[in-house]
Amino acid sequence: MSRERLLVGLEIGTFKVCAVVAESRPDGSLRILGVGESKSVGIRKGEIVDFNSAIQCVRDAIADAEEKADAEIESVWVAVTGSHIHSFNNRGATPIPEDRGEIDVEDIRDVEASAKEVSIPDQNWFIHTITQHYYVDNQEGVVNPIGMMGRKLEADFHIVHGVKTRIQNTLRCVKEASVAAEEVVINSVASAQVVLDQHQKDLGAIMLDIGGGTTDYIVYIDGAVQHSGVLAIGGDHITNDISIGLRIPIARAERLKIEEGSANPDEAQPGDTIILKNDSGFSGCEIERSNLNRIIYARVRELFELVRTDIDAQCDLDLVRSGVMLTGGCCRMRGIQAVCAEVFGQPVHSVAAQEVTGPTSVFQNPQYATAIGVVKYAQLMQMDDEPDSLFGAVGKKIGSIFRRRANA
Amino acid sequence: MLEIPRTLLADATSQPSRILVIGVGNAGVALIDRITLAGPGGAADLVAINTDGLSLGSSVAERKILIGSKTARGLGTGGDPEVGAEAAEEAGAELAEAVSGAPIVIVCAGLGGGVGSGAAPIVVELARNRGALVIVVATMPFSFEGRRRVQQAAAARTELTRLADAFLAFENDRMAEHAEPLAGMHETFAASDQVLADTVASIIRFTTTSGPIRVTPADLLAVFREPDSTCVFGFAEAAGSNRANEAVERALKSPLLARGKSLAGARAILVHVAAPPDLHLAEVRAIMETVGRHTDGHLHLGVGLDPNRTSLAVSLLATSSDATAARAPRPARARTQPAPIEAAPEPGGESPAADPHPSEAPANASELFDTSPYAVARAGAKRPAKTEQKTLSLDPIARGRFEKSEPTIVGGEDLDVPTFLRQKIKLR
Repeated sequence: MSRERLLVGLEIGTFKVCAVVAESRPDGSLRILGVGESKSVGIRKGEIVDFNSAIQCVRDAIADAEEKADAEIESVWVAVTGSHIHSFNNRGATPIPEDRGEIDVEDIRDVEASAKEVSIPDQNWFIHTITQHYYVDNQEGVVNPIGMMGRKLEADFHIVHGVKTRIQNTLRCVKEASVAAEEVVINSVASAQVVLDQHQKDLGAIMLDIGGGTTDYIVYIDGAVQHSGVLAIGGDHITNDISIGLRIPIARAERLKIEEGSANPDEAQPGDTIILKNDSGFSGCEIERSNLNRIIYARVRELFELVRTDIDAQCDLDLVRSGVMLTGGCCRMRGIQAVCAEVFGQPVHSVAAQEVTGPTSVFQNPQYATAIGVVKYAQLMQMDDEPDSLFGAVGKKIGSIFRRRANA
Repeated sequence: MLEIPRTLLADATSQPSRILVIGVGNAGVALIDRITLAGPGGAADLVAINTDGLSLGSSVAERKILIGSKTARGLGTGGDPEVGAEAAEEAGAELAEAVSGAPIVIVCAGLGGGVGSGAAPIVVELARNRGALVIVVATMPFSFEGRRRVQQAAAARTELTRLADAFLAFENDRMAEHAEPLAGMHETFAASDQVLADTVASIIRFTTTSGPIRVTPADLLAVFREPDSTCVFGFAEAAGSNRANEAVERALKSPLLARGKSLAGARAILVHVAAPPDLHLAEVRAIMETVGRHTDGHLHLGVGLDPNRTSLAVSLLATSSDATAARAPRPARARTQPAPIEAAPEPGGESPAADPHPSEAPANASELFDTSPYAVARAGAKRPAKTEQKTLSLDPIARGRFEKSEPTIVGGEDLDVPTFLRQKIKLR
């Protein structure tokens, strides 16, 4: 094939399963060739609850993507999420042997291993160990310590871990759909690859990806991941609230949310009503717009408050200077930016994937930010692995370490 | 009271922190035996008090006091609190001597019977008058034990709540729910006794093991001082590399805590970590964070380091008001609940200020703890009674489509329930 290497990102979301096929150019740019999609069944809050239905959804999405991109998909990179995923920051340290004095790859590996020497629950796995900063003999701001002289190498890491079996279930689901899984990446790390640019990361930024079942967030300070988290609340909850509050079926509530929903409680005039036409199994009714908006506002505001409380506990918000970026399907909700700005006291932007080329309908849609992000992540990982043939195993090692820095 | 306490000041310097555990009545004596088996026997002095010579004979307590040798002739009270009270009055001098000298006294009793309901209040009063901090750990009878016992227990409970610094009630009815449905009677009682014994052993451990973060009596009182409430208690031990997470998870899974759900309604929770000296701060943090996820209440942390320990033990102690503790909402009860009798003026000579020897009791206590929180805690105990309308639990249907999925719980709040319902936002 004349094509460059293909990369496929798969997001098994609560609302949709989505596979993005992209072409990685040698210059580091990414071109999207096609996006396959299928409506999710058997996924709740970002996690598989009905295995067989989920497999079918993945199959459909992959088949759709193959058709749209006119390519055969063999392996995919998978985004994972769920409330079981937790993160913390930890510092590792390792002494440099006196007879050597020069820091090499081995030391980098040791420092990472020492940072991982913390007790995480037995059933958990380390998903990411993202380097934040290196310190050589207490000298701060070291970007790449390899080759430097020193007695002690230290590094801060952002460590993400989650329940092993739940991640394995996602991987098994992919495997059952007859494609190989390359690696997993958490939603927030993936989305951030395309939603935030390096400048924003350096200035400090918060990214919130509000999806169907979960809200994934990540905070960059000083160019490094400072905090990440998953809150198992998403668009599904808004729909559910509307359905209970206005006593209408879930499917009707979903449509109402998309067509009429707004998070601005002051937008509706008193007496402003929405007429719901009768449908099969639904006799139709008239609802107050202010009620709808108030239900949405309460949920959305609470969501932001919970995220802010969690971020506040870990980070200094004053160091976040480029504001809050909203992405994910829910960020298309009217008025949601204002609520977010109200809670965070920062400028808020709704953004979709940047830094990619392809059909604008795809990358300008915030719904696809995670899946495109997965592809970008995969590209970064692979670019680091590229010069393998020259350096052999050692080169690969360097790559695998520094690609983490590249993401950070 | 007429007896003059012994010079506690002299004792204070020589004596390490001793806790006196008194078992009153058959249930109390049986509990004492279990506590001895459960652990920190060395740190506490055990006293068994009963009218029944037979039960005392088989007890392992160091000190046994047979009360009412005239009124009950060593045969028990026949379930009459009057007889129990008379018997205790009769042996007043001996009891008074037995309870003096300890800064903290834990009185264990099964309420409903003769000695537990009749004699326990007298013992508590004697101990209080000697300046001790008195904690009562009591079981409430099974409802099937009959109306008389239940009424006697309720009367004794009211009295003990008034007299003691802290009153922990364990409902036998609820304890039995957690035993195997087909477990033998003996096992059921043994299981429920074990929970009580673990609780008392933990209280002893809280205050006697040394460590970087001590539990003060004020901490204990802050947790216990919750009118008309049920005590919930969770305890687990674990060793190995993942001991902190394992222990706290298992402690939260303790039957009385209902997988941490009971903690949601608690205002204050005491978390005590007893561990070998190699405890990491990260482990303590992991434990506190895990507990914190289940509750909004105020967390009191205690850490005790014991070189003799091989495993890490986590104890969770909280009082939860009945409405939240019971799985089923009890609207009728929540509404008719009487204001707790608490602010009743204390009989003269009972409050520390009116004590004939005011300096002595605090001096003794200060050997162990700061005096100030102690005094503050006592004063706090007399705050005006709270009349609070409890909220009804929400309709279970409110979770809607998330009915069967794993709940999203943050800070003890089920976030799957629509926000507008939880925040009580009115819709037009």
